[in-house]
Amino acid sequence: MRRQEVYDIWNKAREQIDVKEDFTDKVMNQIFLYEQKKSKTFFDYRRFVDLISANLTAQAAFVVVGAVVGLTRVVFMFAVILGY
Amino acid sequence: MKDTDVIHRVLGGHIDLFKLLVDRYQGPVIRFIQNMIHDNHTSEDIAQDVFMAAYKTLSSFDSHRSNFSTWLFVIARNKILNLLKKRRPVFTNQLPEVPDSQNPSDNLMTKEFFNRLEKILRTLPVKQKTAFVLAEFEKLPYAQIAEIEGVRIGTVKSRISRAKKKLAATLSELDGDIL
Repeated sequence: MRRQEVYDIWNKAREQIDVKEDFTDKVMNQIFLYEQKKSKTFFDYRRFVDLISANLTAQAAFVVVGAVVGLTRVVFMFAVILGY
Repeated sequence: MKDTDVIHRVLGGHIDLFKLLVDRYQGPVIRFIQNMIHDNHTSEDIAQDVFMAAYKTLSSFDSHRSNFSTWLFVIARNKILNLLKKRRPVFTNQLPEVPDSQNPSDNLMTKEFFNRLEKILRTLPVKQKTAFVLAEFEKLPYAQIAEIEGVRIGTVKSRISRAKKKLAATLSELDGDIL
């Protein structure tokens, strides 16, 4: 057998792996457990950010709410300063 | 469904769709880890950690900067490096099966070749080994390996070439010895 042939067989053998059938289930179980733990917390900042970043309408709504709150604050400040 | 679409939907609350990504990439990820640490028992645990870490930080994945598989390989690589820093790997990998040949001495020689190649692979410096494993066993293009490693393509090429030289030296030694 030639060197290159042996190398190719070794290379091919290294490409072969046995993945256990339940690998995906194990990962998904861990994920569901993680999510369960997360939902027990009162406010999950990361989940909130995930939801916002995944949804364009939510992003727009978030910006609009921010702008309205900001403007209200500015108007309120002026009102206080001018003594209304 | 494209990776980016799946990610978008997972982030939108369809957690169960992450299964598609695990199914798609479990093979390459586990193989990469196995070929790096040579410990079949630990490889699967690390692969699980890789997918969990990917899930937890999925919102930070930027599809404009890299594709999902590259991002996943970066996570896997970092996990492997952390493990190798903490402890020396325990080699529990079995040698690949030697295909049957008409000539029994051929089998013996092939086994000897495999032994030597495995030995060299295990003793390669980690940077050379990472580049070599990703190129030879994962068949990734140099540009993607460079992205995973965070180096230039030229650096990847030289790492792979150094690794191959070491393997070639072993093969030529044996060539003179028994073939």
